[in-house]
Amino acid sequence: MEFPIAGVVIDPIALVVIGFLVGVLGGFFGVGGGFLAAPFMFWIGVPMNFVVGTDLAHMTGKSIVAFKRHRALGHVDVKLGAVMIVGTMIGVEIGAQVIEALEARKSVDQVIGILYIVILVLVTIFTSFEAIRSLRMLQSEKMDVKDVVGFQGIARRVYNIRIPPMVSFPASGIESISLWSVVAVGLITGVLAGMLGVGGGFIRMPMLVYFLGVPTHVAVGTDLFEIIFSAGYGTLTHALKGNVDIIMALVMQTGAAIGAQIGAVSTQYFTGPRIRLFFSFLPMVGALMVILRLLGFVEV
Amino acid sequence: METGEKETKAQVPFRELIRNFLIELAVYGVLLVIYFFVALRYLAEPLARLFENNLLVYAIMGLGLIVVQAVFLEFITSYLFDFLGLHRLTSKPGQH
Repeated sequence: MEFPIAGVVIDPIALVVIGFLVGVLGGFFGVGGGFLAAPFMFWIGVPMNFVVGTDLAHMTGKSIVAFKRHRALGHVDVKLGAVMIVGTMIGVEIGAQVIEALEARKSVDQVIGILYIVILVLVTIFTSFEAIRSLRMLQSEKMDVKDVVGFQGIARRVYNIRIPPMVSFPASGIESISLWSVVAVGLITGVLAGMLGVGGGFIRMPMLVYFLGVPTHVAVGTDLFEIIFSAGYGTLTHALKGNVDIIMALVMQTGAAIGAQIGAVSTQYFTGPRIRLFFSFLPMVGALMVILRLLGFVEV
Repeated sequence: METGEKETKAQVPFRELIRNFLIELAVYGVLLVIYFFVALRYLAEPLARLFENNLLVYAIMGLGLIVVQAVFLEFITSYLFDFLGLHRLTSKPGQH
């Protein structure tokens, strides 16, 4: 099939399949999945300059579908997401500025690549360790609950910060927390996302759970809520630069929308620790992709 | 930390919900394909022209199409399900 905007001929089935796979991951884990979709899109022949923008466009639609499904399941804290967006947007800009400042140095790509790998490996180790511990707690104490977190130290410390204004997020079970703590978590994920050039879903989701004490299912849905805006904003900016093939994005979304619904619905049949354990493998895949890119095996 | 939410035990016919979900996906899939072909048939050329001539309108239109696909088709699917009186796999299984 010919895509006149990008000026290439690509098998639409391949795009639908990529969309579907990334859609399932997005719906289940609350991530955009760009770190997986982008290399595959490039591999099937999408021109390099269209990969990121087109991926962001389909990510926007997919996140809306998954968000709506998670919201119907009661897995979204819109208030929390809205507050975090402020910090995230500022953070993304700061991260992008840092990168611009560093670009004068020749080795910036390697430095960022290594930083990215270190963060992803740490997220994998910590999340898998904690998830296994939580699963053991669930089994040994025969707890009949949907979520339990084996490591609560950080969230407790964050709750103890009492800088006004204090706000509550009933949908996440947070009775009282400093607004600034929430904005700061958004800011940190934003800076990392801006510096690393990614959506940041696989950093934000664990941070929501471990730093703010948000239940895993709600963290997944709230993360998707944020991705709608960040990916939507990214789509607009990339489209203005002529880097989005909307027809290609629509094809990808046909698969992604169905995959996202399956992923979102599946979450209610897994406990929080189980979702986090599955999730812990994702950053490792992302790290592997960066290693392959640094070694020159993949271009995106 | 317990979130207080009880583990979901299927008190409703689980098979019925899954069957409905699969029907829903099939309906949604058909609508997506129809939408895609309609969009492709009527919009591919104008979009390509817009891409060449006016990137601002193209960007807004592109985002609009993506959002429409995500929101409108899901709305139609929901409407069809309500019309047919089928339970959707949306709220917690025990509540159906």
